[in-house]
Amino acid sequence: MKSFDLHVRVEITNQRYTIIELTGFLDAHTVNAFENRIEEIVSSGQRQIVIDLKGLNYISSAGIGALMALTQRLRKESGNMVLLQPNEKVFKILDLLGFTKIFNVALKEEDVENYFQAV
Amino acid sequence: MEKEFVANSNAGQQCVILENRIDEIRRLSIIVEEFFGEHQLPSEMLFKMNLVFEEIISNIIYYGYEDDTKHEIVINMNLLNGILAVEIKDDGKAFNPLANPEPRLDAPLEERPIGGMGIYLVKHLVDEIRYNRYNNFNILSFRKNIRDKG
Repeated sequence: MKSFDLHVRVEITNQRYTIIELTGFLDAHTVNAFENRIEEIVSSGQRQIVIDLKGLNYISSAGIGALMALTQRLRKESGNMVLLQPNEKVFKILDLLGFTKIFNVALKEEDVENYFQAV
Repeated sequence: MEKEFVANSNAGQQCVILENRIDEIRRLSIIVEEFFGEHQLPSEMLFKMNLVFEEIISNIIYYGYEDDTKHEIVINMNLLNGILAVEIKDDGKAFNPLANPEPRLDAPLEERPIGGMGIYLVKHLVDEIRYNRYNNFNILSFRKNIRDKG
């Protein structure tokens, strides 16, 4: 049977930002686990965060709400969040709600650096 | 045989009864996926319809009830000639989600409430939607042209 889980993998590739790789479904069912994991990461001092969405198959308003809360928190604490390469379906949902203009969305890996240089 | 298969793939009905628990949305997703597979409906639409179902049903579960008891949410799906017609019935408090003001998409992040996004998505992902209150039930009905790419 198909899995509707969310997998979160954290990778610190350099000193400048932390990459959080999401795979699966970010929805009403998995959002609490995501928020708990994010809380651990931000509480440990990470403020520059890239959320790698390449493997994310599905997002609902519950997931988008969690990304909004994270962005607001990071901005207040002089941090920054970049969404990396959402697939076409996820991009369309973010766009329908106006979030492609609000969130930093990098469509290519090499664009990520630009968002952190601008901070 | 061929003819019968074609006829069956164009029409179908399914009734699903969920309990008012968030994990029930997963069970519905599986049933909807099977329904789409059985009727050879496009996967792009499956994504959209699962999103529509999640937004409507999570809204009912989170905000619809004033007690902690078990309630049923009844979903009827009807597919005919490429049009999926769905009716979702719940016995929660009277609430018309379609009457809520739409979120301001151009507002800065700090001024954007989290609420209201789900129903905005629903309204934009279906072709037609209406709400009725009937005999102490909320009835939300929508239609979607499943052959449509949009």
